[in-house]
Amino acid sequence: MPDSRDVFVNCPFDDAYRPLFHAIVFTIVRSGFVPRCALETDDGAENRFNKICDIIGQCRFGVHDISRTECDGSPPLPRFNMPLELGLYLGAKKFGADGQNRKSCIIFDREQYRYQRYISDIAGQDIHAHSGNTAVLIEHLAAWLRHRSRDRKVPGGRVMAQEFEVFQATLPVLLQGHQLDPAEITFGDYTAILVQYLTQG
Amino acid sequence: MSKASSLRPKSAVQTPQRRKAGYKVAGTTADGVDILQPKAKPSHFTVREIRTALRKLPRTGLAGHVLAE
Repeated sequence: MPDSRDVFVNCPFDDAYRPLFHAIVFTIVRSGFVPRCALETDDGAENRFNKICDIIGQCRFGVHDISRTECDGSPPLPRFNMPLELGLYLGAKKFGADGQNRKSCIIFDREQYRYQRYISDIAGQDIHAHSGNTAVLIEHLAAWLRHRSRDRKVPGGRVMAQEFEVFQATLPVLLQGHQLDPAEITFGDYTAILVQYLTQG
Repeated sequence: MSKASSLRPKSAVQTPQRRKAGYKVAGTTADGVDILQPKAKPSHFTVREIRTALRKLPRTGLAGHVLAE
């Protein structure tokens, strides 16, 4: 049985995507859920694919961003980690035992119908367009979490987006004492700081 | 109170080790959301160091964005 408040995050982890990744994590934590992703342990001895499978199996909810499925490099090849993990998640929901069929996920892309050009088999799923905008992403994700979890305490996305901006502006100040740049902190650091920020009076 | 400071979700209750459906609750915001303990651990600092840094913010004068009332 997947943990009822664990949310699997499947998205790029590079510098350019970091604001959107942080927006996803902020929304999940602020809504009273627990973000899970492949970055939560840094153990080189652990097989990454197995780690992702374990986390997917433990999560009731999933956030998938396939906006980076585009050709890159030389020769240009598409990045397919996000669609692969989305497929794993949908497969677990379809074929998994012990409550895996209760899984629910939200899928983001830059544009609403772009996916039809490269992954048309997921037609029928509701794809949400964030246009690369953190406020739009937070609004969609908060509304979806509230609806799917039936938890009416999940705050409104517009207020949460404003809170996110304040937190992001605060983060560099908090890190000054450690001579760290926000780009250097780990997923574990970010979530720990966020939880303390939200719960300290 | 500045607009920015009002945007920090105010914590209402600090409840050590309260649990919710198998999760540890780190605290509850003023709007009633139970904030759950993360499963990932910080690697650059301890939770105590984070708390200390947060407590220092209002006094440093650098923390205009997060000053609580």
